[in-house]
Amino acid sequence: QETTLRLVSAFAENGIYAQRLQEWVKKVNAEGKGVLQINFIGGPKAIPTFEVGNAVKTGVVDMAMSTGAFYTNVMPEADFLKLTEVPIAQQRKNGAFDAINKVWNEKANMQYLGRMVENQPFHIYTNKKVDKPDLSGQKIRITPVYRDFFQALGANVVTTAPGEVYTALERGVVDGYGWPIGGIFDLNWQEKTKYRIDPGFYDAEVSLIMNLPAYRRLTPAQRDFLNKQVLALEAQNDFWEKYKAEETARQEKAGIQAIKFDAAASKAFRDKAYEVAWAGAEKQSPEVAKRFKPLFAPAAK
Amino acid sequence: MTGWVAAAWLMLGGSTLLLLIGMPVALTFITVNIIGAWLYMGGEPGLMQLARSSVSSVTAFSLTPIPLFVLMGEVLFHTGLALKVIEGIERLIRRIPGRLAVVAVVAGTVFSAISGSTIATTAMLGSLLLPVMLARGYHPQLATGPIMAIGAVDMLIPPSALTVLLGSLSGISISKLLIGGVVPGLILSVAFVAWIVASVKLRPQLAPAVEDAPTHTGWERWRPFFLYVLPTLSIFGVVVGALTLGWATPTECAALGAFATLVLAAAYRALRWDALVKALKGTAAISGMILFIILGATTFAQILSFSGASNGLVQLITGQGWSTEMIVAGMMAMLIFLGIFVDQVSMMMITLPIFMPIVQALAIDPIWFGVMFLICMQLGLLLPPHGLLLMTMRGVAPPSVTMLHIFKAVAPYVFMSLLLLAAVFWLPGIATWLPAWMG
Amino acid sequence: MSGAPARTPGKAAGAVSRAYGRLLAALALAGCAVLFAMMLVIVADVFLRNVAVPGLPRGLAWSNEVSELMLYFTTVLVAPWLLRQGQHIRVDILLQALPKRLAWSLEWVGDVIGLTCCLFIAWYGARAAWASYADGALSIKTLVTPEWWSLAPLPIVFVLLAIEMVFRMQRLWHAERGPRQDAVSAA
Ligand code: NA
Ligand code: NA
Repeated sequence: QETTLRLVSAFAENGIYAQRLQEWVKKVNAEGKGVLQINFIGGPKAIPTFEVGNAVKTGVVDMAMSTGAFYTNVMPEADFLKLTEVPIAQQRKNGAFDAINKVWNEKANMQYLGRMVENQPFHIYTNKKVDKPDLSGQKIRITPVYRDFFQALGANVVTTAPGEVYTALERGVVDGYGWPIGGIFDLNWQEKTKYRIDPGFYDAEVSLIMNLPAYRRLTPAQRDFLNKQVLALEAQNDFWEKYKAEETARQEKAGIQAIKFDAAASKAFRDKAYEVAWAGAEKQSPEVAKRFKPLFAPAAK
Repeated sequence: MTGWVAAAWLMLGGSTLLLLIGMPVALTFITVNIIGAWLYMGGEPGLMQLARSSVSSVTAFSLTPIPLFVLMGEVLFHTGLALKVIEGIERLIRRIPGRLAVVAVVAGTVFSAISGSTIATTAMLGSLLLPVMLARGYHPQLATGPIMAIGAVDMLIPPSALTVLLGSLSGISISKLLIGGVVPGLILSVAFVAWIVASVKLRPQLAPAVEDAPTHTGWERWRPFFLYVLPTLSIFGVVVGALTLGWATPTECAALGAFATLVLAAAYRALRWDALVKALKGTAAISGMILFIILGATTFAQILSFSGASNGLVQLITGQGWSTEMIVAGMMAMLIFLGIFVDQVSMMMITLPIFMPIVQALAIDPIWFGVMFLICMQLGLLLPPHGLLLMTMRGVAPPSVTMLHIFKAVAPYVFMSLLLLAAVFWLPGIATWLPAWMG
Repeated sequence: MSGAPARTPGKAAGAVSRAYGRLLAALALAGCAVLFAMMLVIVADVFLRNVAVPGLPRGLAWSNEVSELMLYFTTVLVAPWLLRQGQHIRVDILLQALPKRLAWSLEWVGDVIGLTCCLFIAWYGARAAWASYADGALSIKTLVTPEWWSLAPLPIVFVLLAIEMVFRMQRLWHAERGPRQDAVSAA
């Protein structure tokens, strides 16, 4: 018996995330004849980005590709996934994956199927040179993902629509912004960016989520097939390591200088990023944050 | 009939039917949305999703310039500042055939640079200048035509509420679209002046033979210009300056422009409480209608996309082997046709979900396409039987001016706008050069 | 004009309708105030970002999210008043071309569908708001607010619109047998 699942993307259809997703859908549909088919409905034109979580929760769609920050209105815990410091393969072994699914099942009526983007740290990009991790006097464009951290670094935070960041940078309305290591070329921001602060922090998480009743309705054969396909997708996540290296090189070629701190300052910078975020997480959902924190932390060497 | 074909018929056909029986546009879209959400988004959860998505459609910072641009025009109108500007311009223009008609076009161009509302500009000129022209013996055709025509140009010259909406709905850069409208708008202004002069030369009976033109000399002649026209134009300077100096984003500049207009009115001691309330009410009415349609119709586009109808139609059109030029020309023809009986906001709502994927698929320059879209909408404002500005003119003109006068009056300007559309089609630079040069 | 003469509404019904009209006008005025405040919020944010004022923050980080919410509030506060004014734009090209009596009948068809549509959105909008409230859903931006704050106004306004639809039908019943003269465009 064959079932068709309806899938949407919270990211625009022409971006790299949605492109890789569509390749995967093609493969699933080719291999899943008679078992499972996926109907890719589209991007934010079909369901607005910040409504994707609710649409999965209520079953308007069966599956979605999204990042947690887009569905904090379903549950604040969604944004905690950016704090994982171990790869998804490890998360499946150390209990993190099950712990995530328990919360996603109970609070969001969702099955957390798997993670398709890893190893994409966020960075601070700025046009004002700094010699220490301090953004005092800088106007930085934020999203909720790293607002607390940037404020902790002393930045004046500004919100602007993504479409206006280019002009805002050009005219100096903002001095900088936060963004993952990849993707600034899609928006042409490299033209108006001088520096990137290293190291990166957090991990731009993009995952597949599924409506829980729809997941439970699948026959064991269908569920096995789906999980096998998701695992195959995750197995390709080393792509992102390569993509990170390419994008870093491309930024350098575009004239973006990396600002590096000494080892101690770098560590303090990263530690502060996680400390601020976990403090925020514990305020929003103390019990879940406590459960996740040890599971997300890098294994002691 | 495959799934998407049925969906396309239901959504597009259903909304056309309901539009034709005269239901308010917003409710038309919402009604079709309810049926579409029920069918394609899984029944009750789909309907609840529809309500949520409707809320998020107007909770959008990118749309805030719509009421703010309209407010600029309304303040100018209700505080009487507009009258001072017209006087200032009138004193400067002497000894030209069809003098007051030329004044209307020049004053209208100045208003266009400050007002984001075509209605406000047409109403300003129509109520302030038209009675004077008729009293001095201008033929109703020469008196009304230029006012309506330049009112429509307001939409091309920034600020413009409809341009913001087009950018926001289509994903084309709003600031580039606003800048892209400048050259075509100015071309039309100049063409209008040339046309007025030429037609009065050919048919002197259109304008009074001897006109008691102002005889002020020296400072008296220039005083109102420096006192009113230049300061009013400085609002435009505030907006551009704030942008260039990096004080504000393009969207935020709309608020600065509206605020500057209020400050200027206050500086002239023209900002009385009742004028402010009138301006705000006028703004709430115009932008309220636009925004309420957006609330209903954004979700329409989403369901159209969700049901597969958008993709199906786009593939159908792009798969015919037609050339890009043919497809663009076809889209423009369709817009002009729609403009005859549908308002500008609905034009965008109905066509953009299909047009924009085509623009992307065929790699058409979005600025070029967007500016032509604007010209088509501007045409729609002027097309009989009930282009918005014809109605606005009807509302402010004295009864001696008949609807037939108005139709006849607007015809040459409609023709000039069509010529401009063709010019932009063959010479895209008219639309794209300035935005590209300004980065 | 030909056709049946207009009927005058009953005194009591007229008074209720006028009172409701005043309520809608008051809401619209509130919408104007929100619109004005929206402008001030954005101006204040820009000003503070560029000019250091002792004791005040450098910019209002919440200005975007608050002003877009204000835009939505303005939209819904004004909508029922616009319906009363006949200013929700529509296409009347067919209605003007048809025989008056038939056009009048089509106005009824449109009103009945419109009323049903308002009731549907009111009901499902209320359920969406309620579900959000029951789940304790939060809108987490610079400010953290309960999500139902933004969802609840929608069904309330559609209830108001539905009531106005009834008054609109009452006016149609008492009007001349022909199409209404509502607004047909906005720009
Ligand atoms: Na304008
Ligand atoms: Na802002």
